[in-house]
Amino acid sequence: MNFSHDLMTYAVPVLTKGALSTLKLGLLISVASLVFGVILSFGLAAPNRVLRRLSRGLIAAMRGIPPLILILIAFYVLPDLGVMLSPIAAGCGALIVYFSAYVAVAVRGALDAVPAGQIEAALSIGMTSRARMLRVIVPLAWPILLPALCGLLIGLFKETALLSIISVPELTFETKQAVARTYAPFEIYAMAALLYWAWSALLETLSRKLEAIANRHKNPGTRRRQGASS
Amino acid sequence: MTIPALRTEALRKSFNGVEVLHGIDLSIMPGETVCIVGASGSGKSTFLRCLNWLSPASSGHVYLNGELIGVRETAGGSVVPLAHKQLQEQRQRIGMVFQSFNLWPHRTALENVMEGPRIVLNQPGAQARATAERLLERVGLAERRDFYPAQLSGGQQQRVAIARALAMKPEVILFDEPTSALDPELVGEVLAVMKELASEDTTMVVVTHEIGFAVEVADRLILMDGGQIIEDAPPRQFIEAPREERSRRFLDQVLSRGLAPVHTIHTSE
Amino acid sequence: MSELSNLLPALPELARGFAITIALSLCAMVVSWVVGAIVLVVRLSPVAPLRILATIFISFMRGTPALVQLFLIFFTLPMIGIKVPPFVAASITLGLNSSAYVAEILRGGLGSLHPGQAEAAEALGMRSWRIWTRVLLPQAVRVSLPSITNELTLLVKTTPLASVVAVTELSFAGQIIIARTFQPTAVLLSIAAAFLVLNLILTSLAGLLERRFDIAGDRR
Repeated sequence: MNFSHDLMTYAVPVLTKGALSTLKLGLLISVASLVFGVILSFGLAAPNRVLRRLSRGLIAAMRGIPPLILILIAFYVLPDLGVMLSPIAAGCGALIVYFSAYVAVAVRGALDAVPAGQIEAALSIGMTSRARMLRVIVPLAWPILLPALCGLLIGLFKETALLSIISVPELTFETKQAVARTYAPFEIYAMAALLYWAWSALLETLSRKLEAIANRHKNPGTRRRQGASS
Repeated sequence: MTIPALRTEALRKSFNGVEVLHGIDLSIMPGETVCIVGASGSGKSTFLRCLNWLSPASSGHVYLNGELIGVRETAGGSVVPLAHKQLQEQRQRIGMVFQSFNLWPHRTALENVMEGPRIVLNQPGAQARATAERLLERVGLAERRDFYPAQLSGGQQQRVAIARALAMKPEVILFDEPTSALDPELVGEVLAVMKELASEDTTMVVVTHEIGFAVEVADRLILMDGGQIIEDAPPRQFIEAPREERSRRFLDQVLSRGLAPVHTIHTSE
Repeated sequence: MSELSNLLPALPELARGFAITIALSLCAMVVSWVVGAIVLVVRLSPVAPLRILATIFISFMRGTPALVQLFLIFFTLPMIGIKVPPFVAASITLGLNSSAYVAEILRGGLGSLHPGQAEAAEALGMRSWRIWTRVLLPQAVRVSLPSITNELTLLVKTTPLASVVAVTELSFAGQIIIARTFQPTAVLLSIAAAFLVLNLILTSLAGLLERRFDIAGDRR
């Protein structure tokens, strides 16, 4: 093991650049997957049968096919169909479709987990479907959805490492380049791993905070004005 | 002649081809308290859920103060489902109290009661709050207004749920086994609130197992069995001289368990 | 269609790749279940340093990309004098990666068991490792079977990573054929279909298993 000064002065800027790129790509893919995932989750419950089948089929495919293969398909197969994409576009596109499927399943699961009685109570006072969604269903589904969603997003940032295989200049790609130049694989891969680890840990902490906020009403000690027993 | 507050006409309901309500005709006059009793599976809860169209009837009609619920008749005489918006307006006029309370767990007692006036009736916040505070006081829970449902006992939750229904100033309130999910010692406080409502001439339809409450409070006691109304009589008459054999058997079973007393609530709590 | 006929000679190569994919999945699965169970027990052990070690292991494995873990293990083991064939390195890495998830899934499953289960075993005078192997783990596995299946399909989907260390599993075999014939469409779509079918078989098998285990009335 040799974290020499020369190695560090070379590797740190290269890895930083890669890390920033990973961060940007990860954020882009996260936001897009959330948007498409929510849309797809409505497809899962669409009144139209064809739409429902299509959504279900897409999700089954995404759960069965490795993301790396999807990236390769987007990069090598789409040009055959006349769609030329840059490595970044192809890779991000593939991961967005992949994670949208998982987001859709999580969203659907959370919405379905809202007890029927809660919705009936809203119906019985004559709430509009919009009010039901915004005032009852979403607030109750949110705490159920949150842990699953955070897990997916943490996974998503790690999965961007696959983009290195089609030479997208993100952290893993830069790491491989740096290893090729310095031939200090342990040191450089360890540094890259630490960067990923730190980011995952940060997201994990953030998600715990969010979960605590979302579940406030289950343990609302601060709002008590007196003991709960009568 | 007074129009019934709630009237059903040949109401039928089927689930997957199996008919569970076989054409029910019933009129409930304004200010009446009607208790429906019967064994589980007799169709009484299904019937109640048809009244506010939570469970749409397969055929037949429900009228709220003369107005057809859930459907409308076209010029050609056929019956079509009502638009969501109109159904929602009708449901505002029919309150419902559920067996499992169904309070919204992410809102405090006060917020649960305010929700209808604020969001459905678009009342200003201050007005909705004042109404909600008054109603919580009425069910004896003024002190608990900032508690979340998880911090309230079952009996307290159900009283909040009653206040939530009252907040919409409904023309009729439906109670779906309101005390069945409660520990025995908490039943009394909920029944006491309901008794008070009945004495104030609130129109109430109560599906219940609390025969003692029904006898004491109801204007009419109805026995349902096998998706039909078997007996419909003033409670005294129902108990002392039921017309039907099945009513007698039902009474024998229920009375052998004894009558639960109705407590009064202590609004000082 | 001409594309497909050109690919016929490549079929045995793809088939061999598929066989290696399945072998790799099986080896990694064994590693992940064995290590996962050990990590779980260590994670719950009364010895604090062990517990912390297990927590760090789980956090690292779940917090870093499997691809980077693979590079780390494959390129650094030889430097400390351990020479491992690519297939073994890949099995170990992918297995270790998955073991962290398996450990957490089982921990969740254990959490849902009634504490009386362990107490009843203790009352019978069972030794602690017997309590684990006969009472706690079997029940935790049963409760968390759906999550374990899901994790298994995810594991199968990480096997193409082994291509970066030149294990000729399905995707690497495919890339070799693509380089030779330059017909990526047919090759990649066949590979995708093969993975899809493999995972569908896996989930339906798991579904059968779940139904067998699902004793009426005691589902949580």
